[in-house]
Amino acid sequence: MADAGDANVTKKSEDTTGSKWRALWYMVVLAFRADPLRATAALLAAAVGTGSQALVVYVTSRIIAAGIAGDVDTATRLAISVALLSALGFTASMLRLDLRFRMEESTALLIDRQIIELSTGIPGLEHHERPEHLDRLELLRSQRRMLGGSVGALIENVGSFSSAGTTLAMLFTVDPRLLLLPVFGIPSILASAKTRRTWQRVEEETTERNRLVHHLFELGTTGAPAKELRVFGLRDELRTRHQVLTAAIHAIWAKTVARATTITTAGWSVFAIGYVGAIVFVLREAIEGRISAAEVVLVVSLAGQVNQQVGSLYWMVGWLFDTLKTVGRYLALVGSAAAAQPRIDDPRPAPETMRHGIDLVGVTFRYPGTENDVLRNVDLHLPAGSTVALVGDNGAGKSSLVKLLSRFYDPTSGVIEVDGTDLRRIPPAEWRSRMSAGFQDFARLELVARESVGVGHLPDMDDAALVGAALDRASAGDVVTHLADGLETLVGRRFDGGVDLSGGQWQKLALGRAMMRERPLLLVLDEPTAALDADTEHELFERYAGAAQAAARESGAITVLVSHRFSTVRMADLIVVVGDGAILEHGTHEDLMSRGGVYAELYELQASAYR
Amino acid sequence: MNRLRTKWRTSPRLVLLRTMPAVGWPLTAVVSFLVLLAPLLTLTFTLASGELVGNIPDAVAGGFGSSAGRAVVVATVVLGAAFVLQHATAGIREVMAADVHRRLDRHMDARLLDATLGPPGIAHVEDPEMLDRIAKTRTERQGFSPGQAAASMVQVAVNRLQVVPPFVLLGLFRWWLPFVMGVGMVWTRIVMQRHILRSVQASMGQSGALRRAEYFVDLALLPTAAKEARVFGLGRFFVDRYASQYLAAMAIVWRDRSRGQRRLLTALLVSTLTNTLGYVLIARAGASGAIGLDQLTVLIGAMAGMRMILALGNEDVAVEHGSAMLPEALAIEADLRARREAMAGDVSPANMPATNVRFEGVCFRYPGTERDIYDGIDLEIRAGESLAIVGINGAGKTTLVKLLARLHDPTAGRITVDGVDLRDLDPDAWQRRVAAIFQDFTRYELSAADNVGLGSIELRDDVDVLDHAAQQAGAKGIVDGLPGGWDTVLSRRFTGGVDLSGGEWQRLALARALLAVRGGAGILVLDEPTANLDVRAEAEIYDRFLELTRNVTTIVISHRFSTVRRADRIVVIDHGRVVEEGTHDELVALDGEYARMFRLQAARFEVVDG
Repeated sequence: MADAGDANVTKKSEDTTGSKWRALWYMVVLAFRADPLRATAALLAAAVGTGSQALVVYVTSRIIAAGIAGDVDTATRLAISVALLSALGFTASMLRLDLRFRMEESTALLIDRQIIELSTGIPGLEHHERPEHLDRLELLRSQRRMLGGSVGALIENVGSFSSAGTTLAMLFTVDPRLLLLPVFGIPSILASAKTRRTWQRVEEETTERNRLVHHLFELGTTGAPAKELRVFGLRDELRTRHQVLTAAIHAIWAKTVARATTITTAGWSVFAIGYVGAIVFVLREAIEGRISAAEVVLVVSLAGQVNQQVGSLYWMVGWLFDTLKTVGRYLALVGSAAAAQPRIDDPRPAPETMRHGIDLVGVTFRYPGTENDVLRNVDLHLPAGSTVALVGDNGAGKSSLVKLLSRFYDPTSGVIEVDGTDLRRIPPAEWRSRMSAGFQDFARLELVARESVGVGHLPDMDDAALVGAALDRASAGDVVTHLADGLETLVGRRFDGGVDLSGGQWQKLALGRAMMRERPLLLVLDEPTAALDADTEHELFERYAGAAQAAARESGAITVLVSHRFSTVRMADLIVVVGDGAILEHGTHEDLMSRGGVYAELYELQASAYR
Repeated sequence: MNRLRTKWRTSPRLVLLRTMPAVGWPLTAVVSFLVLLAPLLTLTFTLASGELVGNIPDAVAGGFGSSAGRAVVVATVVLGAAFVLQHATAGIREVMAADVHRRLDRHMDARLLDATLGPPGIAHVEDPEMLDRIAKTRTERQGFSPGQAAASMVQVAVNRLQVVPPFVLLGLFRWWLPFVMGVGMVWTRIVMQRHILRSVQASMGQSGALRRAEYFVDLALLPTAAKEARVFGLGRFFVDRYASQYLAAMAIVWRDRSRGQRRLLTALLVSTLTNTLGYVLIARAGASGAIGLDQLTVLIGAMAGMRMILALGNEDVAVEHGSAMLPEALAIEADLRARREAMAGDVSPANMPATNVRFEGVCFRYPGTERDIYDGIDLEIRAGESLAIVGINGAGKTTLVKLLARLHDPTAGRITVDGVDLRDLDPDAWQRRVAAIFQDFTRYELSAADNVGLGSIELRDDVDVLDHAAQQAGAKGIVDGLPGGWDTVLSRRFTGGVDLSGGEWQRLALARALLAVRGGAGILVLDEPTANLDVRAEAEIYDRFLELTRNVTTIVISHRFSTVRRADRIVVIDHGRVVEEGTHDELVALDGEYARMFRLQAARFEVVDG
C-alpha cells in the first residue's frame, strides 16, 4: 500500500505545471547546448514558414481587390508575390522539418549518453530490481525517443503559434468582432479531445488484455513453446483464446465509434454556425459599404482556417506537454541517481592484498520496499586466500549474500569488513575494480567474442592474448576455436553476421569474463556453471583450483562459489550452509560430514545415486 | 500481363488495398464513400465561394433584395453546408480510419498466428531465418503496422483526390496550365517524399548501425547486464561505444540529408516558376476583365488547391512503412500452409503404441545445417517400459524426442509405431499420444489451473484431477500457497499475479505432463525434468519415479545418474548411434562408456582420505 501511495506522489509531481515549466526550460537549454546555431535557425524557420503561409491568404485577397479595380499591374505584382511567398513558406517549412529532425537527433545523443552514465553510475542494483523502479526505467527506455522529440514539439509549437497569431491578427484588422469566431471552434476541439481521452481510457482499460494477447501470440510464434503446443494439442485452444480475447477488446473499442462520430459532427456543426454567421456578418458590412469585397474573400478564407489553426495549437501544446512528462521522468532519474550516490565521509582505499579476510558482523538484510529479512544477524569470517562454497536450498539467501559482498546493496544492519575496514567506506568503484564475478543470470553481451569476454577487465580488452588466457583459465577456449573468426567473431544473433551460441557456450564466455582480472581480492561465482554438465563443471573447478589458487594465496584473494553440485562444493576450503536467512553450519567437507547435519544429509542424497 | 500479376502480388500498396476489405464490407463501403465525397465537397465549396464573391459588387449596389443579393445568400448557405460537411466527414473519417486500423491489425495477427500454428512440425519456428521473418511482420514490433497503413491510406486517398477539382478548373481556364504546374509540383513532391521518408527512417532507428548504438542504451537500462556493468565498471565503455556508433550512423544520415536538401531546392525553383506563371495569368485575366470576378475567385482557390499535390505527412510515411511487410506476411502464410500440407497422414493412432516404437536407420540433420545429428540410428522403445537415454558429448537427446513426437521428420530412414510408419499416422492425434516436459518447458502467463490444465484441455476444469496431478508432481504445496489458488495468474505483469521460482515452474510443468497422461497420452517424455530443482526436491521426485511411470511408456533424458539408473532400460548414444544398451547393472558390468562415466562421477563422492 505504501508503495502505491509513493507512486501516486511521483505521478502527481510529474504532472504539476511547475515541473513542466522546469522540464521545458531544461529542454530549451539542452537544445541550445546541443547545437546553438541550428536551434536558432529551426525556431526562426518555424516562425517564418507558417507565418508566410498565412500571409498568402491576405495577398490572395488583394489580387481579388486588384481584379475589381481592374488594375493589371498591381495584380501582376501581387500574383508574383503570392507565388514567392508560398515558395518561401514551403522552403522554410521543409527547412524547419530537417532542422527539427537534426535537433531531435543531436539532443537524443546528449540525453542518451547521460542516461547511460546515470543508470550505470548508480552503484546499487535497487533501481534494477524493485518492480516499481523497474517499471519507471522501462517507461523511460521505451519513451526515450520522446525526449529528443520534445525539442521537435517545441519547434512545431512556435510554428503553430505563429500561424494562428497571423490569422487572428488579420481577422482583427478587418473587424475586431471577428475574433469571436475562434470561440465557436471550442466545441469541435473539445469533441476531438474527448474522443482522444476516451480512446486513451480504453487503451488503459485494455492494457492487461492486450498484454495477454501479446503473450498468446508470442507463445504461438516462437520456438520453445511450439513443442508443447503440439504434443498437448493446444493449437486450436490457443487460436480460440486469441480470437475470443481480441474480439472482446474490439467490442470495447466498437462502442466508442458511434459516440465519437456523434460528438465530432456536433462540434463541427457549432463551428459552422459561427462560420456562416461570420460570413453573413461581413456580407452585411460589405453591402453597407463598410468593408470591401476583397475583405469578404479574406474572411471567407481565414474563417475556414481559424478552427484548424486553433485546433492544431491545442494539439501541439498537448504534444509538448506529453513529451515534457517524459522529460520529467528523466529528470526524476537524474535526481534519484544523485541521491543514490553514497556519501563517504572518510573514504578508505581497498587493501593491496588481503591479509585477514572478509568479516560479516551481525549482518541483517531486507530488500528495500519489502517486509522480510532475507538474512538475519549473520556472523561469518571468510579467510584470506580461501575458496568458500555457499550451499543451501533455493531462496535460502545465498544470492543475497553474494549481492552484499559485491556491494549491490548495503546491509540493513551490521557491517561487512574487508581486512577490518567497513566496506561502506571503500568507494564502490574502487572495490569493484578489485573484484570479479560470474553470475547464473549472466549477460549475453552481443559484441565480438574478444570484447564480450574482455569487458571483464577493460584495460586488457584489446589484447587478444590476455583474453585468450582468461578463456583458458575458464576452460572456455574451445568455444572460440569453433568460431569462424575466432575472437573477432560477432556473437549473438541480434545483429547481422552474428553467430548464435548455445546456453553452455554463453556461460563459458561469461566465465572467461570473470577470469579477466587476474588478481582480484574477491572472485564471486554465483552458480556460474548451471548450464554446463556436472563433468565439465567439475573439470573446470579442478583446473581453476590448481592454477589460480597458488596466485590467490599471494594476494589473499577469496573465491566465493555458489553451487548445487556437492562434488564441486566439497573441493572448497570452507563450506557455508545457508538456510532461511541464517548460517546453519560451516566448516570443511570433513567437518560437516562428521557432524551429520544438513550438509551431510544433502551430500548423502546426491552421493546415494552412485552407491 | 505477367508483370502486372507480379506487381499485384508484390506491390505493398496494392496488397494493402486487396487486404483492406478484410475489415468488413460495410466499413469498407462507408469509408470509400466518405473518401469519394471529399473532392465533391471541395469543388462545391470552391464554386460557391466564387458565386458569393462574384455577386458581391452587384449585391452592394442592389442590396439583399436584388437578384445578386439573393444569389449571395444562396451561395452563403451552400458554402456553409459544404464547409460543415467537409469537416464533419473528415472527423468521421478519422474515427472510421481508427477502426480500420484496429480491425486490420487484428485480422493480420490472427492470420499470422493461425499460419504459424498450422504445421504439425516445428522446423519453421526453429529456423532463425523464419523466426526473423515472422518477427519483422509483427504488428507490435514495428513503428507502423499494416492497420495503420490502411488507416493512413484513407487520408492519402483523400489528399490525392482533392487535386482533381482544381486540376479540372484550371484546365478549363488554360488546358495546358494544370499539366505544366503538375509536372513541377509532382517532381517537387517526389524529391520531397524521398527526402522525408529517409529522414523519418533514420530517426526511427531502422538502420543497422543505429540499432548497434541503441543496444548500449538497452544494456545500461535493462536489468540483464546490470550486475556486470557494476562489477566491471562498464558505464564509460557503454557511453563511448554508444556515442561513436551513433555518430557514425548519423554522419551518413546527415550527409544524405544535406544532399537531399539541394535536390529539393532545385525542384522547388521549377515549381515556383510554374506557380508564378499560373498566378500571373489568372490575376491579369481577372484585372483586365477577361474573366469575371467569380471565375477569378474560383481559379485562385484552385491554385491553392493544387498545392495538395505537395501534401505530405505522417500518413504517407505510415503507408510506406506499414504496408512494406504485408507481401512478406502473405508469403510466410503461403509458405507455412505448404508446410502444413506436407505433413499429412490419416491412420488413427488410438491406443498406440501397443507393442513398440522403432527407429529404423534414422538419419537427421536440422534444416539449413550441415551436421548430422543421427546417422542411421536403430532404437526400440517397448510399450510400457521406462527407457533412459544417456548421451555422450551431449549429442541430440532432445532431438530424439522431437522426431518421436513428429515435430520433425527424419531426413532418411523411418520411425514405426506398432509397425506403422509414423508418417502415415494422423500427426495431430499422434502428438497428443505423447506427453512431455521439455528442458525449455513453457511458462504460461495464465492461471495456475491453465498451466497444469493445458496438459489435457478437456480436464482443465476438473479441480480434483488437477489436484491429483499437482500432488504427483510435488506441486500441490505451490498451488495451495497461491493467493487465489488455482485461479492465480502466474505472472506479475497481471493484476493479482504472482511470480514463481524456476523450481516451482518446473514442478507445474511436470504436473502438466502428468495430466496429459491422465488425459490419455501413451508416452511420457521427461527431458531433464529436475534441472531447476534443488537437491532435496529432486530426490523427492525420483523417489516417486516408479509411481509416475507405471502403466505408461516413459522416456527419460537426464545427465544425473540418480534418475537414469531407475529406468528399466538405458541406451547410450554417441555420435548419432546407440553404442550400449541394457539395465544399469548390465551396463556397469559391461564396463563400457556408461560404466566409465558412472565411475568418474561416483569417484567425486567417495570419501578421500587425508
